[in-house]
Amino acid sequence: MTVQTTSRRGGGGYLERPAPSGLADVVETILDKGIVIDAYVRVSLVGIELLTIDARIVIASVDTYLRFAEATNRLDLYEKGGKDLTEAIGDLQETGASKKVSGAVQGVKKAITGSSRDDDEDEDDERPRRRSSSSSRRREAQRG
Amino acid sequence: MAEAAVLPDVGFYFYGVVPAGTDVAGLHGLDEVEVQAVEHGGLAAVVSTLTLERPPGRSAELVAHARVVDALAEVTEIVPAQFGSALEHDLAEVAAFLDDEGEQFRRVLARLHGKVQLNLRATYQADQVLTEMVQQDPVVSELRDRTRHLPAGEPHPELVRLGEAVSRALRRSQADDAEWLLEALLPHVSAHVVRPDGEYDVLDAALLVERPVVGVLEERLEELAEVVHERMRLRLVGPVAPYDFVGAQTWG
Repeated sequence: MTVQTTSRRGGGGYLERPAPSGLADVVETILDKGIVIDAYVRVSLVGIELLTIDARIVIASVDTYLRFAEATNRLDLYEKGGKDLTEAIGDLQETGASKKVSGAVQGVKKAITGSSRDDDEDEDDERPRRRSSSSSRRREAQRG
Repeated sequence: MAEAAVLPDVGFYFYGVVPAGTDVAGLHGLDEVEVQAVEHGGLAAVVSTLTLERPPGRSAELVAHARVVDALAEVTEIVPAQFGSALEHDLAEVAAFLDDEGEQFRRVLARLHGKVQLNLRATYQADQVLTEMVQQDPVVSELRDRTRHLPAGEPHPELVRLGEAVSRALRRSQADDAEWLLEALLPHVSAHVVRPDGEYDVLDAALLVERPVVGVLEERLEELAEVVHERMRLRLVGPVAPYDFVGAQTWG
């Protein structure tokens, strides 16, 4: 899938402005939204089940906790090599939890997050998708 | 009805309702079939013919639906139909439907006039935010020290506690950050819908915005994105049709 990023302001914008052409965006935007009309037959056109994205993971399960724990333990906090994280942490402690982190750590942060802004473009496309076995069903005629 | 008798297998795929007089020429929908506007009482239902007996579909159909609806949303206001709505028989039913629901369609179209939807998602830079937690939350930090050298793949109880602590801290900052973002944006927004969050989502929201304000909102978001870029990615998609602002109730 091509996700094309355009910056209206030219130059290196921080706001990501992908064109809504990617399938993931389309699914997210339109699936299960819009008006439903009783008089109309709902046709299961697309094998919607193929497209259902399990995007919302409730933050409450043991699985989720273990994933968080794993992500936290994976952090390379005390190691060097390319990432300069220790410096970043020093700076972070200074700025504290402030949401409006100033540009003070910008340079260091570029080293950390740097390329990820570009490379992660496709992340959304790779979220787990659920497949239902009922895709052979061709039409759902639900009349109201 | 006559049409149904002649072509029992053909129906009309339904994209949505627009004001009468909207130009749909050149728009192609599902199966690349040309789109038509069925006008009645100042409104137009946008449809295209469709073979009802179909093999399990493809994502192309979803994309085609979005393409038609979003193209119309660029030039006029539209009440989009839910994906997969089709009329089985003939166009007389469309007129009847526009009659019955005309009042409501006109009301919604009037409310949407001159506005577009933009979808905003703010997502944490996970490693950055987790690093902050380890630095700032003594519980997280201690549990991390005690669990990080455990053999991989074993769900140790302290790992669960660590995850819980992280989850709690994450929810707290999500709530704060989402509120902060929304407050900064709401002056530029006519209406908004916040959707449930994913794991590292800060905010996932549909914004209804006056067309002339879209540029202002983008600039504001760019400023905000720069301020928070170490911790969050801000992603804005659209304009798209106002899918989130036409109500969830069943019509007709």
